[in-house]
Formats: sequence, structure tokens, C-alpha cells
Amino acid sequence: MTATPPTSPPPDFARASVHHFRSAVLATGARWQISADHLAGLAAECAIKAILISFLGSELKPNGMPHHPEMKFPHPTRRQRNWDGQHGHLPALWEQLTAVAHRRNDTAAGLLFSQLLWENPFADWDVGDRYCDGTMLTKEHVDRHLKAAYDLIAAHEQARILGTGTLV
Amino acid sequence: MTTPPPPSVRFDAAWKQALAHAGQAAQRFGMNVVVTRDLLGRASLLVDDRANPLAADAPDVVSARDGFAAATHPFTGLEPLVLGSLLFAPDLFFASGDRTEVSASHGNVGSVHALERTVIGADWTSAPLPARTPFDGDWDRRDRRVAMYGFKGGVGRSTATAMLARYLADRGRCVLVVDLDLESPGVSNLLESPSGIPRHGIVDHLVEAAVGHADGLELVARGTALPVRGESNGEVWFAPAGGTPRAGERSDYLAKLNRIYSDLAPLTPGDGPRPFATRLEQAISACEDQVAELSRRPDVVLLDCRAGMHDIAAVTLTHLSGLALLFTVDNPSTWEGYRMLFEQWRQRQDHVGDLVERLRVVAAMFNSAGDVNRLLALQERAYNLFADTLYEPDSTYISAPDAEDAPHTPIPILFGNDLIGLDPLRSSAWPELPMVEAVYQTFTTTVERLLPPPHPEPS
Repeated sequence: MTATPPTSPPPDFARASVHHFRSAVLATGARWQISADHLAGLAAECAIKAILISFLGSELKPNGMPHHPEMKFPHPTRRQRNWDGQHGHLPALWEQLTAVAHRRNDTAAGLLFSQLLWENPFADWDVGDRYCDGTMLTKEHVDRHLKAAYDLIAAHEQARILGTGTLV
Repeated sequence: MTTPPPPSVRFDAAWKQALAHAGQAAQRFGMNVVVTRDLLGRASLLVDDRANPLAADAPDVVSARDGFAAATHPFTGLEPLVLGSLLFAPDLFFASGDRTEVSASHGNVGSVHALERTVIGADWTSAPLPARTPFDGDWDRRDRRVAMYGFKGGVGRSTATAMLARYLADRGRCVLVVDLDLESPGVSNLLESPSGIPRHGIVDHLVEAAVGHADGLELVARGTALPVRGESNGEVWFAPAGGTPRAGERSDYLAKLNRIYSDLAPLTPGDGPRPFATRLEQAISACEDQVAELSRRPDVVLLDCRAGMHDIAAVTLTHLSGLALLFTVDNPSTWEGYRMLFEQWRQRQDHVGDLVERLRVVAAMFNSAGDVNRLLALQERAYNLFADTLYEPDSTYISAPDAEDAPHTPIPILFGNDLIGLDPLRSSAWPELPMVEAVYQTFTTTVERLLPPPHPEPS
């Protein structure tokens, strides 16, 4: 995600996740695999940020960047001293979600959500892959990323209506 | 002049209002509705308008939303009214298997379902395990399992479990007793001296299986503290809640207990989820399989279940047993407890018919042996409760309050003062005392009659 200028309205990650997901589905139908995979990852990123902000204590900085005020994550590309609470791209964002979710000591582990956290389905996804030539991208990759994005968006929606007990 | 605070309702009244408004919405829109209640008790109204989308700002939608919010305040969901056409994953709500039906659709009126999210207790009303696990011929594992449950503790349930195990073994059956009173284990002590307790227990299976590591556990042992009479080939086996570690081994029972109740994700991605009910079923099956391996298949499995409204009891009664014995003493708190429980079950109309046939009341008649009037009074109260809650209006039980063999008809245990203070470990022959046998005779013989026949002898 690119930092939003302070004058813009704050990002609506929940809505954006649905938009990206639906665009990804359209791209899949048109066999635009690279776009589909890229959009599926963005949809998942937005859903994770929506979950973190709505339910798990993350906040928006004045510049629009989401971060967790009590957590420090290793920056994926910088040295350890640059640890901060900022939420960026997948796949590192997934580890951040897992770390934040596991801090919570709630006996009602949500089934949908705990299944999601089991394994990072975006371990092989990179936001820079939109520049790839597509030769390594299989339908299985795209389907897995779409499914994970769907589950995340649904988990956010379910928690909004049934409460945070559906999350960890 | 100060502004008067908005009208507000308490928890129960808010839910009643939510259901009433849900009924009105089902009628007004002619669509199915789901009314949800979150962890804090806050309700939202979900209208399934997918076939015929409504406008979120249409006057009747706005009026329904405002009316619902005003009637349920402060137990109103973050979004009081949600249109299904605007949901991302509507089937998570409108097709959820966790819904309970409040009213069916009829004519132009949609159905009303409730969907609740609670901290614990979902198993009281959740659907039974879909797949049974055949064990032999016509009888599956569940048919041979008997849940021993009392809403209130301290009514002699564990002692009765030991007596029943002993009696059935005397009659040649292979009996397995599983201690599911995990927060307060004890039935194992009635069957075995501590030195004979196996190395592992039910809690070990639950934590080891969670990571796919349950093979090789030693879960069962043959009871010796209650030797069966010489002429019978019966056996009593038991599976304790927690095992006895070998010398030098450490066993942190609490650390395990605190981790067992959650529903788990699949062990292998792509497999089905592992709810607590399924995991407990697997633990009990593992105990049965070990008895079969060490000796023969158990004819009867007694599940000594903890008291109160707890997930273990919920799963054992509704999912895991073919016969559920409800230990009852004739006092108001016991009846009130069973009424709460039965009213929960009544919400699952699709399962309650099957469930009621598996229930039997057991009367723990403290200090009243021989007083037939007290037993009749208990029977009348049990009948009234079943008739109010679980019996269908056209059930044959409704017209037979005095039936000798109905779910509400109490099976008496004529408990007397003489039994108090008996220490089964110091006097292993105590079950053979004539006084003790008399106390349990009606109970043991009646339960035996309700059980499937023993496995045939191997040819």
C-alpha cells in the first residue's frame, strides 16, 4: 500500500478488500492470471488490515499507514534495529496478524479464523510479482490466494456481526 | 431541564424484543431473516433479500432498522439491520448449520432463525456428529455408551457408575468406565488403587491428538479394586481423566486441562475442522479400541460426566451416548437446571425427537428408602417438566404420566445413610454387602434392560 496523503479520507480497508477481490475474480475469468494473483493478494492485505484495525488494536497513523501501537515487527527488508509496528505487504503481514492474534487470551477460538491462521497461504506471494512474466504462476497458486482472500474477508464480516469471539 | 435517557432493556428482554422484531420483518418483507446475538448479547437483524434486493434507504427498511435498534437498546449490534444482498459471504449466516429455527416460513411470511455466538456452550444445541462410527454389526459405538450425568453434583453419580460397572461385569459383560469428570476426576479411584492407574488419561489423548501424536498412549487398565465374582467372565476396564506418570516423569494436569476445550483447525490443510465434540469422541473411541486390543470389545461404556452446564456434559449427552441417565434429586434447583437444559434442546426441533428417546431420569432417593410417595412426587415433577419441554404434543408419553417405562419415569436408587462413609479402597468387598446390593438393584437391572445385548462370543 502506498501512504495516503493526510488530506485524503482515511482508507476503508474493508470495502477495498471486497473491491480487490471482485476484480480478482473478474481477472481470473478473463485468464489474466498475473492481475488476478496480484489483486487476490491485495484483497487479502486489505482484509487483514481491516481485521487488525477493527478488532485487534491496530490504528491508522496520521499519514494513513496502519500500525499496531504495542507491537514491533521485524522489517522484512531492513536490519533488526528498524523494527516497528507498521503493517505493510504480504507475506510478512500474515506473520504480523498471527503475532497480534496470538497475544489475545480468549478461550473462544473462532473456527474460521483459527483455520486461517494455520498456515500462511501467501508465503509464495510478493507484491512485486505484478512485474513477473507469469511463467511460474499456476492456477493452483491463484486459486489458493483467492480462497484465502475470501476467507479473510468473510472472517472480518462475521466478526462484525457475531462479535470478536469469531476471531482468536 | 435534562434530556431523559433513551429507554433501555435488560439482556433477556432485549432478546425477546429482537425475536419479535425479526418476526415482524419476516412478515413485512416476506423474506427469511436471521437474528444474531454476539458475544456481548447484542442483536442484529439480517434480512435475506438476495433474490429481490431492497434499498438500504427505503422507508420500510429504515423504519425496521430504527424500530429494532430502539427496542433492543443497549443490546443492539453494531449494525442493527443488515441486508443479505450487501453481505460478502451471506451463506455464513443464512445457511449456517449453527442456526436454530424460531419460526418456519409460511405463505408470504419468511422464516426466522437465531444465530448465536457464545464463549462456551455451543455444544448444547449444536447438531450431533454427522457420521456415526460403526463398531460391530447393527450396533454402533454410540449405542453402547451410557452417559451418567447429574445437573447437581454430589448425588452419588460416580458411586452408581462403579456399582453399575460391577453389576454388568458380574453378568458377563465387558465394561469400560471413562472418567469424563475432568475438572473433578474420581471414578477411577472406585475401580482401582492408585498404583494401577494407567500412564495416560483422556486429557493426554486430547492434547496429543491435537498435534497428531496420540499413537502409543496407555489409556486404559483393568480394574482390580472391584474383583468380579469367579464364575463370570465379565471384565471392568477404566480410562482415567489423567494418568499416573511413571517414576521420574512429570505430568502437568492443569496445563493440559486448560487447553483441551477449543475447536481446532484441521491438522492437515484441506481436512475438515476438528470441533471439541469430534475430538472427545476420538478419545473415547481410542479407549474402546485399546480394551478391544488388550482383551475384547467392550459391551458397555459408562461415561462418568461432570455436573452442571458444561461443554463436556453437552457433548456427552447430545452427541456421544446412546443412553443418558439424568441423576435427579427432588429439589427446586435441580428441576430449574434441567428445565434450562431441556429448553435449550427444544430449540433443535430436528434432533429433539431422537434425543428424548435416549434420556432416562434416575432418582437419587437420599434417606427415603421405602417412601414410595416421595418417588411418586419426583415422577410427577419429572413428567411435568418433560411434558412442558421435550415431549411433542402428540407423543404417547404425554398421555402416560404414570408409564413404567418412559424417559420421565425415574429409576430409583434407594440411597440410605448406611452408605455414607464407605471407603471402597479399604473394603473392596463393600459392593457385595446385601444392603448395598438392595440399594442399587432396581437401578442396575433396569439399566441392563435398556442396553444392547453383549457382543456374541467369538466363534
